[in-house]
Amino acid sequence: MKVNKNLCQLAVGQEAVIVSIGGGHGFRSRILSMGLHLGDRIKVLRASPFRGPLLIENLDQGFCLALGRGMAAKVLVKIPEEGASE
Amino acid sequence: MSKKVIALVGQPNCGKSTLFNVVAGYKASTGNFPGVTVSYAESPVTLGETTFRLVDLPGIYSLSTREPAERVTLEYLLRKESHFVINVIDATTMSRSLELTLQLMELELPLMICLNMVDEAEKKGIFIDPKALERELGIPVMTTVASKGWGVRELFVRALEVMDEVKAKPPQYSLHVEREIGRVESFIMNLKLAKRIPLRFLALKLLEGDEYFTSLVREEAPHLIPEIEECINRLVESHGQPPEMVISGERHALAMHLFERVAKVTARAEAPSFREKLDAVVMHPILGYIILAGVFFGLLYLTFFVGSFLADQVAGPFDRLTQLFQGKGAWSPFVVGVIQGIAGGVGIVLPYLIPLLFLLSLLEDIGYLPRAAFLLDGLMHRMGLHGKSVIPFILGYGCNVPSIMAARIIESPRDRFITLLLASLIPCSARTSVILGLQAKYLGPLWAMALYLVNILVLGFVGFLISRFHKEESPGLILEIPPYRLPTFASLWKKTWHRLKDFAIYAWPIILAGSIVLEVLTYLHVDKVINTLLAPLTVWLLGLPVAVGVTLFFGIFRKELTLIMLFQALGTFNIQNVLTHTQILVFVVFVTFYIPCLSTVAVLWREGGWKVTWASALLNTSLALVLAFLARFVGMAFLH
Repeated sequence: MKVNKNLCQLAVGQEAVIVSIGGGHGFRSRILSMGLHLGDRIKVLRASPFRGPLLIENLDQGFCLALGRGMAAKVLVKIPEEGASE
Repeated sequence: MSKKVIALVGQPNCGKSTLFNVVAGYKASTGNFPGVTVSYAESPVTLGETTFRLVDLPGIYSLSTREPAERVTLEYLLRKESHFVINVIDATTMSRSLELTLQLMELELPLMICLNMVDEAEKKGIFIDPKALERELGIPVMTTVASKGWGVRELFVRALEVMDEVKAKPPQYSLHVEREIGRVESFIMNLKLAKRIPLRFLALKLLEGDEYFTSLVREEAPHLIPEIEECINRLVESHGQPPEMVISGERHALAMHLFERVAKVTARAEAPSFREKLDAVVMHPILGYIILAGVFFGLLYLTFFVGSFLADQVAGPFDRLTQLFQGKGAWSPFVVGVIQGIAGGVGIVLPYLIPLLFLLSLLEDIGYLPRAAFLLDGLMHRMGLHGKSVIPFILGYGCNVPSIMAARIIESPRDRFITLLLASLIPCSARTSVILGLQAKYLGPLWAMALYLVNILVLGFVGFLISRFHKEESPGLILEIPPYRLPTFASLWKKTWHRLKDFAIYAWPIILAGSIVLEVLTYLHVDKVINTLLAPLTVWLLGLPVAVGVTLFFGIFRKELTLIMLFQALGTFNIQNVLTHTQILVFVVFVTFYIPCLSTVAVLWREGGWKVTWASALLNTSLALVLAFLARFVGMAFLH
């Protein structure tokens, strides 16, 4: 079992699966309605400098979101094992 | 007369506004930016022998009540103002879009689906069977490519055919959830609230813990709240998740299941797409900012070059025409006023307006604005805001009115307050015509660019100061970055034309009337009174000729008026002969910053209340006084 990371801790280009969404009611509802769900495969496309936002692609649904670091830190992910399929 | 009303609902950037514009003849503005339709647009549409009203509602991700745009849409639907709803779906992100569809079905409205951008979806390897989707959902489904006009006519023909027969049935969830829905329904079924809101929808909202609907129930029947909370707790216990995640998870699973049943996905190409390659440059940590600065100043330079070329073509003839009528009989002030008013519109304002609005539309439709928001997010945090505020700011260079309305996409009230306040400081196209028509023309384009730069620095500084006093964590950026889209020239031109039409219809009469009034005032020597009253400001503080007082007074109505009337008040189109370079600089700086025009003030009041309106008027005026006064010394040092 691998340790869960938050989105900010992922390297650019790394793929991961969302395992939990923290924060309050409002934040969770927003994230969910914009299309990030538990179990979705995501990839960090780029991270802007000076603690700017991350650009994240939802690989299952094929769209991109810019997500501020504070918010990205509330999204926990796990990195799938090499060669393992879900 | 009861014309049928059809409403378009969909997620941001699904092509809803494009679809609207295809049939409505460009009465609404669209943009490749999530959430550009902040207030809804409507237009009559005639199809064959039937005429109906088409309403374009703001793009929303879900039927919640957190953001103003979402509330506008949900309230509109709950009031049942429309007879029929078309849910527009971006076929490239269909499974996410279906989650909104499922919520719309919970409202039990007459509903159908427009599956848009099917061409792009197929390019991505997603093939959707509309007939299968129709069977699964039990409501009509039509496919379109709105940007090319494909399938649009068929969509509305079908809508008119079925609108009286179709009604969506709410989707069924898992047993656990259904049981709690049933319980909550039995608690609330006799409430007055349940008469205007579908029972099942209301029950689901309460189970999700929606604050707005919970507060409505608390008002009417506070004793029900503990019982509802009990249902929520049971749901949380059985699923081990917060309630909104349980419900949204159910919808998500249902949407994915639907998607798998109606769509075939072929393997996606692994090579980096065009979008990824372009984003690697446009959103690059260093190159991205160079491009951003280039785009910004390129926009202004190009506007100046095209604008001054056009202005030169028409200035001469109007000047000769004016001289022809000057001082000829009792009607002369009236005739001269009319000529000057028309000349002001055609010869001074329009030349700059056309290229500026066209280029802004281009930036918007290509999808550059969200990328600018991404790049500037870090910087905006220093001002206590986040990247989304960049979008109203950029739109503000066209006109402050839509930019202030666009601030509705900002989630937190505090962020919205600061954004509204700062947005009114952005030099709009009217102020740009003053800056370019005077400062760039007589002092050189670099002086104009410097003024824009100073404006941005002032904006940043004011934002920084306010965020010191108004400390509160900004919620941070969540923004969809849509794919690049290449707009057609025709659609860009129509959009520009639509905005120009606004100028012709609303601004021109005011300019015309203002010019006539000024001529008459001059004839009756009343302008002298205004000028004398304003003399302490104009002459003493700013060192301007006494005659400009009246132009500043009329500038409150429309900012272009200051420029047009300056020519009129000084009696020549050759400003250089009557004003020194320093005086031009001071005048332009003052006009750029002082009180926003009347329409901006009105929309500020509506969107933000009296507090932000007064704050803005006070801030603008004091900035104008200080900066224009400082400009005198800058002028003395560097100009003559």
